[in-house]
Amino acid sequence: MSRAVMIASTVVWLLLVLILPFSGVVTAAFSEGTASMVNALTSREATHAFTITGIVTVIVVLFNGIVGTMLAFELARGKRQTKRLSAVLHAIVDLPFSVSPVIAGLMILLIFGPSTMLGTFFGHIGVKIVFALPGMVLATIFVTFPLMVREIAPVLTAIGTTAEEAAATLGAGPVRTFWTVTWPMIRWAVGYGLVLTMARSVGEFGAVLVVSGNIMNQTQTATTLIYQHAVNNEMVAANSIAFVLGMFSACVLLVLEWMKQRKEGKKDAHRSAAVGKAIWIVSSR
Amino acid sequence: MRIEVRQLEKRFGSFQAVDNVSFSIEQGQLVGLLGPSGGGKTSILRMLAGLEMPDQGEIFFDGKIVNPIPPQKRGIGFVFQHYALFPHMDVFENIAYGLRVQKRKKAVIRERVYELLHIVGLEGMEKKYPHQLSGGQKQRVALARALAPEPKLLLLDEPFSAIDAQVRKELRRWLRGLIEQLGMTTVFVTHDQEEAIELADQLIVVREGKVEQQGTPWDIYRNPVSPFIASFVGETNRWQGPVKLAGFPELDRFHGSLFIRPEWIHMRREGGPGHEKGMVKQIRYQGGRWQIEVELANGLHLLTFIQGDHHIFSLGQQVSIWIERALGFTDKEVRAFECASPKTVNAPALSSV
Repeated sequence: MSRAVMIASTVVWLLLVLILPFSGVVTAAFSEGTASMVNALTSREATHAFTITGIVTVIVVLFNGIVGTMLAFELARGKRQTKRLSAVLHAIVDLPFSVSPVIAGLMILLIFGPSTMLGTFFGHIGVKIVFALPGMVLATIFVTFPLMVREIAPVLTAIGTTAEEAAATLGAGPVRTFWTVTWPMIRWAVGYGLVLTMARSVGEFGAVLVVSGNIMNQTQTATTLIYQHAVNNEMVAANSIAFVLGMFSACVLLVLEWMKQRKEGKKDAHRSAAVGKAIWIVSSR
Repeated sequence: MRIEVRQLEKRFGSFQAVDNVSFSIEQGQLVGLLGPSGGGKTSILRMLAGLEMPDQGEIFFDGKIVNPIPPQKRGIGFVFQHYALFPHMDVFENIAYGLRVQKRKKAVIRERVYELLHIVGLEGMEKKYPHQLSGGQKQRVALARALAPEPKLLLLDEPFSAIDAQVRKELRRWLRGLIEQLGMTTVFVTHDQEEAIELADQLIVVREGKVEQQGTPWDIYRNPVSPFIASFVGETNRWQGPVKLAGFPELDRFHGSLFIRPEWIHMRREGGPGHEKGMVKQIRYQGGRWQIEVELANGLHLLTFIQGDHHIFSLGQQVSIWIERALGFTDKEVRAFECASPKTVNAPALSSV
């Protein structure tokens, strides 16, 4: 009996927070026919916004993919003198999880804003950071930074170093060991981290809104364009873009699901935690 | 390969893992590094492999110093405690790994892998993945993988610790035979004295980072150099001297620890010269032998074993005890005491294990 109640309430909850809102988005997007939706999606500001989102996402995924992986190695394998330093490093990596993206954006404004020392310096050498792409990339990197590290570091800790030591005793050098032993054991975690980073970058709103200034056809991204359309009460346009982003999220979920299958029967706990996180991130838009 | 280790030192933070360790191992020997957990055995093994750098001291392979040589170039095979098989490779690829690194020809690799599969008795398993294997099978794959590149020195870290007791004995005997057949210098680490005695030609007993004694298992068992070894290797009765014991007049004046192995104790129904009177306090059947605790007239307790399945003694029975040998340790010396009275007596011996 109570089991049935729990299942029913879960279904109702899903219906209320996920399915109803998204069907609302879909209905609104198509409310004036497919033509006006296509118009909204192919308008100059929309294509520009999608392009900016794409550029930011690609840069962020590349950056976090490399730096995040290296930092994961450092955190999991680095030889540190004290435990305290370790704890501080972990806390720093997790900071973006606990800091509101809006505050992250504000921090970048405060550091690189036009009237600050750094802002003036970069202005002099002709690089605009705030209200331009570099600031948006910085903000998104900050917000998504823990995702790679938190995917890879636990896997590195779990697999330990003995397999690599075994490879060394069998004559393999560090490069060969990495590609034949370490990489195959972490590649799905890396892929997972990359997909999560991508999903989070595409969906990022708060930090980007603050640092970009939301200038149409310049620094506007897909999410900030939805915001602007909504503010201007252009609901068809807002919902059309929301619909595209929603479909993208659904695809990301499918990819994550597929990757989960590939991660083979072992680290179950780790995997379900990752899926939980993925669902949270994708649905938190 | 002949190995010599001189004044090896290793610290981990403030912990002295290996402290001034020196020993040598002759070509073809099967050597056990024996000692309690955390005593530095594994650190020594890892330094031999090059997986750990010594803080001080030298390691020589065949007279050549190997300290600066990385593990890749030492010509060793290493079997890890938990095997460390490559989980994403099947058995064939695991065994072939070292050969692929050496860029051998495909046909050569194939031949060598199948030869090793045959040696370790895993024919037909080459397509299986590590997670599909039992502990004993993983152990065999790890061994085959280590042997594939034909190392001159085989190093095994607690090779049987993760295997069921029953399989362990079988595997031990098999490994002993295999290593004898290959004639390879082999060093293994264990905390299990029974395993060490059964497997090794030579034992190096390590305690708190130091070599406590090196010798054949027989040597170490019969002539331990310290109370620690006397109690760590084999079972023993420990008394504090001086004691009054028939046949051992010198023990009246001996101040130190006394060790008597169960097999140096002979129980009889009737006594004679050099016998102590005692009473059976406890009898336990241990499968194939009886463990008997006797209280002597002077109040001391002794444990001994009697082989066989028959009830020979009963609880509370009066018996005679003849002790053949005792070892005494003081801070300065080790003394072996032999019984002053001859063993030959009229009463038939009922036990001599």
